[in-house]
Amino acid sequence: MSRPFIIVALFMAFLQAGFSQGSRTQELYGKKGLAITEQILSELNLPEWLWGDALDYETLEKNYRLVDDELLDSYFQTMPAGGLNDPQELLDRVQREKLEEVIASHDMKSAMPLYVNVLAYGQKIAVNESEVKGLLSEVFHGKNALVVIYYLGHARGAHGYVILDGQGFVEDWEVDELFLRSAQDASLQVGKHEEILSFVTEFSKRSFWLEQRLITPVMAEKDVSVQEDEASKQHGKLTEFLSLIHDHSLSLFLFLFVLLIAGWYYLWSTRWRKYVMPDVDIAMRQGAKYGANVSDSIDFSDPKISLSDQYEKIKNREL
Amino acid sequence: MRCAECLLRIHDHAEECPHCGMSLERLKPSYEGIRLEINDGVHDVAGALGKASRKQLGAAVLECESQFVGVNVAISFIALRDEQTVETYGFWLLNSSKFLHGRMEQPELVDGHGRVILSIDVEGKSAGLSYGYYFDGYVSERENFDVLSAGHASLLEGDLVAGCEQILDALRGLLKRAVLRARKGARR
Repeated sequence: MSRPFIIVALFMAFLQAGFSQGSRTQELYGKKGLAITEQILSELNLPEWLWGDALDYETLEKNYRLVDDELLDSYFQTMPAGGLNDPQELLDRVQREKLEEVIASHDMKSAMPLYVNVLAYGQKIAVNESEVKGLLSEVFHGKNALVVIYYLGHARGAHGYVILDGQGFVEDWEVDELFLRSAQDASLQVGKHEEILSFVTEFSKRSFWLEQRLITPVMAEKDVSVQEDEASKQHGKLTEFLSLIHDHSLSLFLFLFVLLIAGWYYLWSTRWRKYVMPDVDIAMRQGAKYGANVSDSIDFSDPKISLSDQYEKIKNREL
Repeated sequence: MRCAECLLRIHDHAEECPHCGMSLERLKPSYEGIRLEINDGVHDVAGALGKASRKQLGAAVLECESQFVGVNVAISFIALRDEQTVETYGFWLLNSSKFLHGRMEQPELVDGHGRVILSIDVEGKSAGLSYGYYFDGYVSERENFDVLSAGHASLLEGDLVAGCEQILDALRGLLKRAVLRARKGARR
């Protein structure tokens, strides 16, 4: 065989090996790889409990990226309107509205507004914690705020900061407890959207205890009186009333139903019911055709003769 | 059962009172000449009511009757003489009167053992109830007394219409109880 032929054959063999390796790489790490992995896992028929809190690897792969300069501005250098910060649009419109409603409800009752930053599961923030604090201090300078950094689908990874006007960041075991307990309650939910909604709701509820402890002494120290806007107060009462009705709608319905039945029974027995005298044995006496049953008479000639005296007289008549 | 004259207990089938000898026949001479027709539940031989009051009471009587089948109620106002009593008058009227209901041109005679008459002596100031045989044993003395007591205050003040309406209201409750007892067969 000639040398050129050998060289060409060797070159072709290398190319073939390269192509096959390339296709294997795609199969292992690309979409095909994921499909194959899924197929293998389904064939293994593993029990549900084995997955537990396992990652949704497909979502992870799709969303995984660094919260770099581009997103840092959105997350930590602007104060989000409505309290919900989701620049990556990880939540759909309905979920966003639900969360904004919870946050608005919290803000209406609380002196510490709630800000929720939604990140994808497993995302990393490009700056360290002290830099994040620096950014937040600039944004919330002179204000109170509860800032939550929530990784969608991983409630237990949620963390955040309690910023208090005049005191800066509150570093307290109660803050850790607040995040931990809220995350524990939220992790009972099934589905990442239900989880974040539960987390924010629980966080809002539990934060009032912290607020009671933190805000009152500061206000007393500064002699600041909080005057609630009358309109928002009225709106709050109305919302509270409506939610009370909503919560007890079944009881209310039952109560009204029983009331209706009782009212109908009362009207029926007093107005509409017909009483029919049954056939009874009749014993005629004293030559009377229709009846011979008479009552004792009452005397109304003199107010001094009381009814009780008259009844006593009737009772003692035969004695 | 009691005798309407001596008010002592008598037997269910007594042809006359074993104590005083009273029977309907013996009472007739005493009450002869009294008008016997009772129109629309009001029998005012004493002339105690005006036209409007009579109409008002007639409506109250009809309302009281409307819930009962086979029961007829009437109110009679009379001025009794000394030897007459409201008990014997009620007994006599219950068995001698003609209950006429409906329009005056075509009155309908009501017959039966479900008659109830409230008799009021406007001179002697006393009131009593008389019942047809249907109610024998289904109303007690105490209940009768309570029904009449319901109008006592108004009658004392001379307001006959209000007194009668209050008595009718209480009577309605008593009649309901009596009918229910009769249905259960529980005599008192």
